[in-house]
Amino acid sequence: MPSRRLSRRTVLRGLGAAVALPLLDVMPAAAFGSGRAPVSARRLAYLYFPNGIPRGTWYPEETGAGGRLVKLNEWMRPLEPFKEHLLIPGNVWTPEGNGHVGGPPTWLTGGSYDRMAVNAGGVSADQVAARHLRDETMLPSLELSLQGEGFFSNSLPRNAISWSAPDRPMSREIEPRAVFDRMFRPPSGGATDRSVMDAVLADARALGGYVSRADSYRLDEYFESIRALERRIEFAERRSSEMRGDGAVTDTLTTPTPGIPADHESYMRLMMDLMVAAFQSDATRVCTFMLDHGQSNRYFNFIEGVRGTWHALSHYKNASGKTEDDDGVTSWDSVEQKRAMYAEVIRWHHRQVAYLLGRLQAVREPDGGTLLDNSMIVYGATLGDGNEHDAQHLPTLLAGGGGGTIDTGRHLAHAEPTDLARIHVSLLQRMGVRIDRFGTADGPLEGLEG
Amino acid sequence: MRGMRTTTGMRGMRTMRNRLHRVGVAGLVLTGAFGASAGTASAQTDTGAHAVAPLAERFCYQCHGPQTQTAGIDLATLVNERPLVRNRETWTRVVEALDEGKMPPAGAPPLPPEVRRRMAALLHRDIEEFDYSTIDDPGFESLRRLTHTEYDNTVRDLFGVDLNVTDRFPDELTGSSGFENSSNTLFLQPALMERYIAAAERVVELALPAEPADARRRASRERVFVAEPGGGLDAEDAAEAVLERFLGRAWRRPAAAGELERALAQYRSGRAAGLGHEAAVKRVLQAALISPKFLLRVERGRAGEDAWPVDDWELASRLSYFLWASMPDDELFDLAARGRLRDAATLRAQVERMLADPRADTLGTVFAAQWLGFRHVGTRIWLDPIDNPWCTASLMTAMRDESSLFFLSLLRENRPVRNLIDADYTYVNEELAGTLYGLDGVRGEHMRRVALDDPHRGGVIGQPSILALTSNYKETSPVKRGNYVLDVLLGTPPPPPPPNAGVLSEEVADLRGLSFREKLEMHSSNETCRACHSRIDPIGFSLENFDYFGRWRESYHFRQRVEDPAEADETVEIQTETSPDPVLRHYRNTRRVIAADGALPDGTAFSGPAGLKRALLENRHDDLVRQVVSKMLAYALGRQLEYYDEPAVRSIVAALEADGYRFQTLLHEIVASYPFRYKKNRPEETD
Repeated sequence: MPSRRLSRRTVLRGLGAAVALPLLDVMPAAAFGSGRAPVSARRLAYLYFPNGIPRGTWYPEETGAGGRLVKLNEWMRPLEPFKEHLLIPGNVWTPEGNGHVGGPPTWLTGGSYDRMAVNAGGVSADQVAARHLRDETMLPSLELSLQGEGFFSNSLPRNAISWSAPDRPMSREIEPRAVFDRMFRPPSGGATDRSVMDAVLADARALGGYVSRADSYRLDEYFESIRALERRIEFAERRSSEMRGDGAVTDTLTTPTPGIPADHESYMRLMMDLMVAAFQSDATRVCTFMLDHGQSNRYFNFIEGVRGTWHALSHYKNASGKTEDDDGVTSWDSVEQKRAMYAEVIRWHHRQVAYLLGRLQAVREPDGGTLLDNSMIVYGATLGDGNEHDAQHLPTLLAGGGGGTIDTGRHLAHAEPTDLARIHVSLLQRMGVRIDRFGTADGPLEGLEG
Repeated sequence: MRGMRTTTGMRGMRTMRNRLHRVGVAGLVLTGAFGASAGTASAQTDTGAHAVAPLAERFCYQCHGPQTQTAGIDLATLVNERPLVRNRETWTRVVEALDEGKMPPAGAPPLPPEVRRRMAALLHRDIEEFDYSTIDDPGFESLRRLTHTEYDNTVRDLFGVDLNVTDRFPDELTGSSGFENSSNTLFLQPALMERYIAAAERVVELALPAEPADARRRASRERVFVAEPGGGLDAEDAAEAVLERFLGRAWRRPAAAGELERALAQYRSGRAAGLGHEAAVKRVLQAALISPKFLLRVERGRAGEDAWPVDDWELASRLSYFLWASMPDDELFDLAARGRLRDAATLRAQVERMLADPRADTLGTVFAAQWLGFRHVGTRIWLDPIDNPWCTASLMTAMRDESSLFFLSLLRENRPVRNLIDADYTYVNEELAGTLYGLDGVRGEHMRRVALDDPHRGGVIGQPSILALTSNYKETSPVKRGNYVLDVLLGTPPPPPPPNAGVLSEEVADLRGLSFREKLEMHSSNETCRACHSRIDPIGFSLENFDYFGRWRESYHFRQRVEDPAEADETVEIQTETSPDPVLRHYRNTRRVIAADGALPDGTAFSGPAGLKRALLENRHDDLVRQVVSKMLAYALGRQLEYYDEPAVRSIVAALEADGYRFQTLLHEIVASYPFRYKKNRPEETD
């Protein structure tokens, strides 16, 4: 496993970059010393799920002193084996935006969404981390999503949690093979030739004086994309020999076939495998994964005892099967039954998240800990109770120890509504970003350290 | 009133932070465009509060102000956005609420009559009687990349082969305009850039193989390699000829001397690195395909100027991407080179020529498919093929093709806008005619025009694609259909349901044996629902004879829950969480005859689809025209419309009125419009 410390060369190149980010704070202390044990990098991921939860199915059933998790509730059971690695903050909300449409774009920005201007009110937390770390890994970040089903599959706000600028959502990868290729098969051929790229860039730069100043903003987007690609190619060149010798990744992951796996569980787990591989190989340290779009109408009939679409199920108090959300053929016999199916769909997702945590736990890191120990995985939604479109008590969970900086295994009860953006501040600080406020939050979340 | 809907959609939603930011921007616009009118009759000034503000503060802010935004309306913010017509849709609702006495609601402090009159008068003056001639703003369309469709079409027209290389590109996502070509949703992210780079290589390899296998590939080669070395022409001169022509077409304007020189330098460096002539040329072509000049719709800026006409080359691209969703052809380039394109008569002739070209089919397959939504048939709208073997992929393709061909016929035959709602013909093939229309005598897979004598059919409302996409899975939805007519066809969407609007009490309805229609009519017994559903549902009810895939029916199946087992023909045993023992539920299955009487929001009553079509044309023709104009203008400009586009919309509507509302007049007027031909600098928001 290669060392993840910054090389001198990286630093020098970084200093030469026009956009000077505070480089020193991403350098772990060990980089300056010598003979110290390697310090493993921290990884940050956000897993989004839509449509909220039935009230009362998130918080633990039993806690001990200091909120210690004793027993999760029955709906969270799949995560029970990992409870020592979880932190479950209560009473979380996002003051500026939530729901199916305004929720996804603002979940990680702490802003409010303006749909006419297509503006999420800020850069998302994952992209803040990605920008901070972009000279350290091949890909600054990965944005994953499962292919949408049903209406709104192409709706921008419902599909965008990751924003590189307030008005610039990141596109997401939905095909496992494309994710694999981005990590392990950098583009090749004529157009990636150094001299060709230089010529293209020189020519493009000349456009700067041709278009209007406002238009040059879009041109900046072009240059940023090219620069990102160049960085990726450089990393790939440097690391290709190391990667070949790194059996840990290639032994556990075979090249996915092109296309979308038909089985939903295989599909989701394959994307999770790729996420683990990305973290393990240090292809990136930052990842977002939309387990579905913000108003998913996907069928989960493959789960025994579940029928109807997800969004319809979330409006469980009308079990007639005749509302606008319903498909017209599915009906339920009672509100209780429909609510149970709704909870079952979410429990199924917990099982997949448990799979991911298990995979992260199985990877040993150079510092002797596990990949899960060094990760910070936020898993949550932008709606509380889905039936009521509840803006409060947003289901939120943090998994992983953040490199020993988070005292997990606890429920953090909050009497007052607590801004999710505080968690963003806390996690970004742990990723080395020097900030003390983010979006609507003027400080970190208290009490992560225990 | 009805004819004056805003084109900017819902504003004043809870987006305080952005809103406040935009207020600052509005101030900048005002000083330029509205300085003249600010001091005269208008109640609004550049600075200071609008005259309506203190009244609204006293009587409205409690529910629609900084603290609480009932129904998503925050008047305190809206009143600061100038001119008020920026948010005309919301203000129009405010005026309606005042005029009809709906606000303040019962229980709130009442509005003294003189205050009500004063507020209404102020708003009437600044919303309905706003003088749009004071606006001189062609709008800012930011540099946008080609959509995936435009990319594929451009490559096709550049090389002469259809490669569809964007198949595995990340999906296009759409925002509020609903069109993929809207500049505010076309981003150039790193993941896409990687696809462009790989695609450039693939395109050049696939379109220009060293040894062309067929005549088409040979033609494609000849189209690019316009000169070959030999016969007195040295390699570099040949390269120069090839590159000059290619760059001029790929970048949609002649390559400048410096650009050509840089391209030749690339060629030379390729040769110096050991590449042969052809390989070195191809490498330059690849580079040209990842240049922003190819990927983006580049238009020249002019520092220090307010608004200016785009040049001939830019106009050629605006025309071709509007009418063809592709690059200009040689004739357009030639006119641009001769500086003739901006001539009004030439423009008219070109629009007619381009419309007749098969490339203009994109006005049906892209524009109409995205506006009317039928592009989703077959992808998001489909039935389980095992349970519904009749619902084949070819049937759904025919459904899309029907709507697309129908829309194109309106354009190419220069028909009046009213034909969109009512026509005596449509397009079918054997499968579509037999499966959904119940028509015999149509043979074969190809789509052909057939005359219709059924007054319920003809026009988009009677087309299966539209009826399917406004249904739920295997069940019609009068609410969706009503909403579709009001929103998509007329551009007058009902407001979204308030949060916690609640749902119909189905338990009660089930036991009372109400039909679906009767249940929906329970909307009327609930004050919150009635205001909007009394406008939406009756439109949908009139279409109930069309089932969820547009087949005609006289009655529908109804499963009624009954308490008395003796009345039941079906009994189900269910498990509930509240009771440990199974519970029995009884049902009686019957058929109910459809009652297709309906009404428009203004109360006009009618019956059945034919009645709806007639009522729409008699009562809502102005809204229909306005909507067609707004949608096509937004697509032509590649951006959502803003309040400052109102003068253009109005002048196009007026020109249509003078000419029997003919579709080709619409195309001509859009192309001749100020925003289509002009460009401006964006007011600098970030400075």
